[in-house]
Amino acid sequence: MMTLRHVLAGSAMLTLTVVSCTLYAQQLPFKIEGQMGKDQQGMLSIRYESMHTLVQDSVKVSNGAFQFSGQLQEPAAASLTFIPENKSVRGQFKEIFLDPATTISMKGDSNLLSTQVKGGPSQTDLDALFVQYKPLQEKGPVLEKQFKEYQEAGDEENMKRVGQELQALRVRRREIQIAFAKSHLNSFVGFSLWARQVDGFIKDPVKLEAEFNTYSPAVRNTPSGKRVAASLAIAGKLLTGIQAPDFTLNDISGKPVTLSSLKGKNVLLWFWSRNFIPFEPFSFAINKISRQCKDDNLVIVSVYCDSDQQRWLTEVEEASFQTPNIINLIHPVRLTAEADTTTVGKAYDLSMGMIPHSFLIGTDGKILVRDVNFLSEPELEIKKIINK
Amino acid sequence: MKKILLTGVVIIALAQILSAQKLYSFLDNGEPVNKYPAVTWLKESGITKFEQDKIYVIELWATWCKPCIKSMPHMSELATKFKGKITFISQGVWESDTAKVRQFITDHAAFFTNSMVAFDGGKDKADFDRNWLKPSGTIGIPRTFLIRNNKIAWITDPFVLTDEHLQMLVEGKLTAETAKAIVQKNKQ
Repeated sequence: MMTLRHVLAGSAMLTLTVVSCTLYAQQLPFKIEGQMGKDQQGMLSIRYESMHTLVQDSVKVSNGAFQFSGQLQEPAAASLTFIPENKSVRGQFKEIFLDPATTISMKGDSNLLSTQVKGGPSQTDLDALFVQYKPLQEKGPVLEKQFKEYQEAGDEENMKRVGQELQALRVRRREIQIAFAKSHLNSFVGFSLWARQVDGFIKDPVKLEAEFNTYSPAVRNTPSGKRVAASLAIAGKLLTGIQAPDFTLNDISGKPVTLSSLKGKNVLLWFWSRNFIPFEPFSFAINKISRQCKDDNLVIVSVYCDSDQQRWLTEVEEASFQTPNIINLIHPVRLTAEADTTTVGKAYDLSMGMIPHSFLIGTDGKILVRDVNFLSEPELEIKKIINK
Repeated sequence: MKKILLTGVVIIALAQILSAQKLYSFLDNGEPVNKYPAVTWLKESGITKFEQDKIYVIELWATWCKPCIKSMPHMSELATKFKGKITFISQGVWESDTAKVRQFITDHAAFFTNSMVAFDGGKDKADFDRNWLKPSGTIGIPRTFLIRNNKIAWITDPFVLTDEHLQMLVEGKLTAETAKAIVQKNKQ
């Protein structure tokens, strides 16, 4: 079975960004100056994210020499891919960390992998992290090769065994990252590793806020740090037992519906759009909850978050969200990397990475469950809670 | 402005056409079924609807799906055992190369001796995808649907399906609950 978690529908969406931060944060130049072996010819490309804008650039490598330049507001992880002119030579991939107002030097006597990287403080931290990765990096490719061989031979028993070893490596890698994040509180690299937990719906805002506050002010005051702080602040206002923030949005007939007008009923408030796959398990769950809870005091408030109203109508039809206990509302704003400034956008942190998410709200308007698990018999969980 | 309006009209018209063709909104244990989605039948026989007094087992598969192929000997054994009592349908999904599917059926004829074989024509554009896989929230195969008296008795993974389940289905005693109890018993 496939793994279920929202996946952005296309990397193109990453390029849609919010200008508010770019207006206020200072952009500083960076430069990469590289020299591989003189015999290296080809094309080198770079990818990095600068405040949720994916930047891609490529340059020609002549006699091993190359140069990139750009602007950054804060440190950024970057990946480099070298495609040699000689098609019989395999391409190479290297990860580095950029710092604003810094020149990074990459020098080596053969291909991209031979280069020694000297940059700013973030690159130094990345080097320290890579030292810890080293035992895994040696083991990983060996296991992957073995797995492929067993797969080709149809040897399921060994595939399973090697698969488990590979999984253990991934777990170990994450453990190293977490330990690094905890011990590098003044490092943007450490912070980035930690911040993966707040990239999406924030499960445990109280615990995460305490962890966030252990990072140095310099890290917390970067644009990413400020954004995390804002998301944590919103999540902190959406805890169980707290009154769900009120809003008014239009239904399919164009009639405004106010959340607080539904007091007296339990509400499953679900925010969605079609920017994630697979969508079907979620639409199936909504239909199942709707049918199984038709005699319970429950209404499903399905909030579609996108500006395309026609597409909304088609999606509602295709997903069969047309049973009497489903109220279809539209938040007619195209989601971006950051929450929009509308009442509902600000109150529920409606941004691209946050969708889909849901809240079960009691008859008194207070939150009963944050982020109902739609993938594991949600109808049973909901019935149990609202019929307590 | 005119162009935008026209686009809107076209989309609404399209939505209406689509909705007109939609057979099912939701397929789950206990839900009613009558028509079979439009598919291409690859052997001499096929169906367009479920008969009230008949029993069906629909097995979803694809030539690229290794677990599906692994389940085939077991499923064809059940099909042989319940020949004349249960109609088995091997429903190919999520691939568009008919020739490849036909070749597979020729090469593995023994797996399909006692079952009808259907081909849906590919993901997203296929009627079966829209009218069976999406309403049932299916995102992975193999997956098996048991149908009796125009109702889905149980949706399951074929590996846990036994002749005890099918015997109960024939006797009209199988529900999702009784079926799961057998699976639980067999696990111990």
